[in-house]
Amino acid sequence: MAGTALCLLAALLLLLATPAAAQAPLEISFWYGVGGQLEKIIQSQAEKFNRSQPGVKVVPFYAGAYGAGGPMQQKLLASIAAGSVPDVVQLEIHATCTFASKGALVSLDELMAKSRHDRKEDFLPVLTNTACEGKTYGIPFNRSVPILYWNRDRFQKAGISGPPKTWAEVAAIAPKLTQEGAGGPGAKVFGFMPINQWWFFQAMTWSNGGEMLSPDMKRAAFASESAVAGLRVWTDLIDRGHAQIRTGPTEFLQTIQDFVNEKTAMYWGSAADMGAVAAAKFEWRAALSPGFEGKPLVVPQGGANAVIMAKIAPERQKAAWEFIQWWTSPAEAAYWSRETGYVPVVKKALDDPDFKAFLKANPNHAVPIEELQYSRAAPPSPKYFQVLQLVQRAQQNIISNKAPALETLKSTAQQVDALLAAP
Amino acid sequence: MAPSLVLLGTFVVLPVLLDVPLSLMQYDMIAASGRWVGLQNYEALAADPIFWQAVGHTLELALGTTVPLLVLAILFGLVLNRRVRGGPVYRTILFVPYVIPLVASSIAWIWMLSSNGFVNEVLGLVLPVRGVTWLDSSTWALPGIMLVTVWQFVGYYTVLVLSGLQGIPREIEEAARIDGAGEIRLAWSVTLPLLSPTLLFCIVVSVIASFRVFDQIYVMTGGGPGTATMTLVFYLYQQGFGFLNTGAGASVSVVLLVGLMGVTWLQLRMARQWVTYQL
Repeated sequence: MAGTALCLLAALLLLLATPAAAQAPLEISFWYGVGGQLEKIIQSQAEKFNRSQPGVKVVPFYAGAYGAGGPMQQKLLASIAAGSVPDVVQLEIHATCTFASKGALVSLDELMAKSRHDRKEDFLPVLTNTACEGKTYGIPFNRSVPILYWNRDRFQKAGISGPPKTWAEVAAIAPKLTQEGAGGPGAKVFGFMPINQWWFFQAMTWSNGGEMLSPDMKRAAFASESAVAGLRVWTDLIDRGHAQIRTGPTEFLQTIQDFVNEKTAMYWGSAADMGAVAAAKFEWRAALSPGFEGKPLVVPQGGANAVIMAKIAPERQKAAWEFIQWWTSPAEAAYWSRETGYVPVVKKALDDPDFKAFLKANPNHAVPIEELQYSRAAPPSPKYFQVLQLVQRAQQNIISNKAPALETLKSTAQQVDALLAAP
Repeated sequence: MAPSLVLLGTFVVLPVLLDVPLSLMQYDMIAASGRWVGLQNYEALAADPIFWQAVGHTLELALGTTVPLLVLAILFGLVLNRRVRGGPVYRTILFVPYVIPLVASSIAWIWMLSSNGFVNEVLGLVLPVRGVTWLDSSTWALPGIMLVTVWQFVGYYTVLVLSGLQGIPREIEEAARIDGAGEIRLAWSVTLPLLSPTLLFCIVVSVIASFRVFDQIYVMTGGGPGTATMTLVFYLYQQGFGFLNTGAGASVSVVLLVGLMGVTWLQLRMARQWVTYQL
């Protein structure tokens, strides 16, 4: 009896000690920073990746909006201080250099050189703001450009044939598109709604021949007439009642909603809005961002990079790289772009016949890809996203508080100079 | 007692103690390294006009929330103390906002304070106002924050005042009535003086709370437009987490601590003039 029991116990112990035939997949955490519809797509893509292979399981986690100074970056700072960082993070492009310069991210040049489809030459011109001090630290995860959305039905009713190409044209047609509401201020339709954020200010400054920082990135260069011109168009339209802006932390989402609810005939937003704009019940179109007469259009890119945190174990870094490579494979890059409106990041995605057919059937989605050729990188300064927060505040003062534009930019430029001079 | 002392020590005393040396450093959160810079952070604060704007707005907020809160709490307390029919129902309705998470109510208030929102509709019925852009205007954004704060906390202070009122012996009120005191005289000369210890508590707590207002500003205005709703705590948050200037954030918190201690000491000092503990 004792012998049989002992044998059974030994067998049981052996069974427990033998590793399972199927290895449990390595779980890596992925922090992302987009909500709403985009979040659903990220979740479903993560599940798709997990199903596609047995070795790695990605656990996505919504860490708050990824914007500059937003909740996700604070959580990331807290996690670095606590010593337990996530594995892959969707990090805003202007903040990538800030974290990379302090050694928080893994450099990706070697991994990219050895990869199947993530070598530098595989990417469209979207490798802007992925490098810091000569090394690459991020892979473009989602990339957008500023896009003008316009309500074709209302344009036709007002006798306007196409979208405006310059800010002068915007100023000319917005009054024609404005409609006073019969039922009170709630029913008014504005001709134009801009979003008062630094991203758009950058676009207008560059498109008018201006600069944000000096070439050595030590001084501000945006306190100039070229930078003010676009803001003046906005304030002029707002003062005359043909435009309005939303304010507060949800201003971007509110403006998109206003366009969908026909509170405005056109708005200047992001390529990433297309999924949300598609809910509109009228005929809408995407167009290139307005520029300035006689000057080339120059726009910034927006979005985030997929980065790998430095303080994680080597096998987790490898697993993270697997996920990133899958995300940027031509088929998945095309899928992400189709579903969201973000530009596809790799060249081969454009060759995908399904994607080509999709672009033919949905010409709106081809506009951001066309605008890519006019995009350029923001200055890769580790302090840039702090500069942008100061610029944002100046914009709010100019547009909401009616402060004089050039003086406000000049005093902000002084603050930026002090910030850039500090060690 | 020991476990609560440990908790208090770890989460209250220790951070305050660590805060002071941090304010004398320039500390990088990502690299987790710092260097001593002496009083440089404090000098930078004194030289920053936005810091002084934040101080001004904080004081405005303290005044603009404490006064309405107290006046309303006393009014509601006096009325509810009269055993009106349905008194408990009104008490509950007044208290419900306090229970709603501030972030959730702030989100709802963004919509209510929009230019064609509920607040403007109601105001438009009694006053000749049209389309005030509350959170978008540098004059009306801070009053908007005050409105939300008062709405959120009036129930709390009403309950405090009510319990203070119920501690007043009925005999004194009856004696005053027999002596011929009318309602207002009764309230002014008998009820309020006996209520003054409770009122002192409410004032001190309300001022401290108003110095620490953060949720509403974070959700509704982000310190803006521009710097119109920049308060000390939001300035601290921007310095520490927006600009990654941890030392500067710590120095603001030290200023806040010292300032609040000073203000509270002043209030308790002045209390000797008007607080009566017995008639």
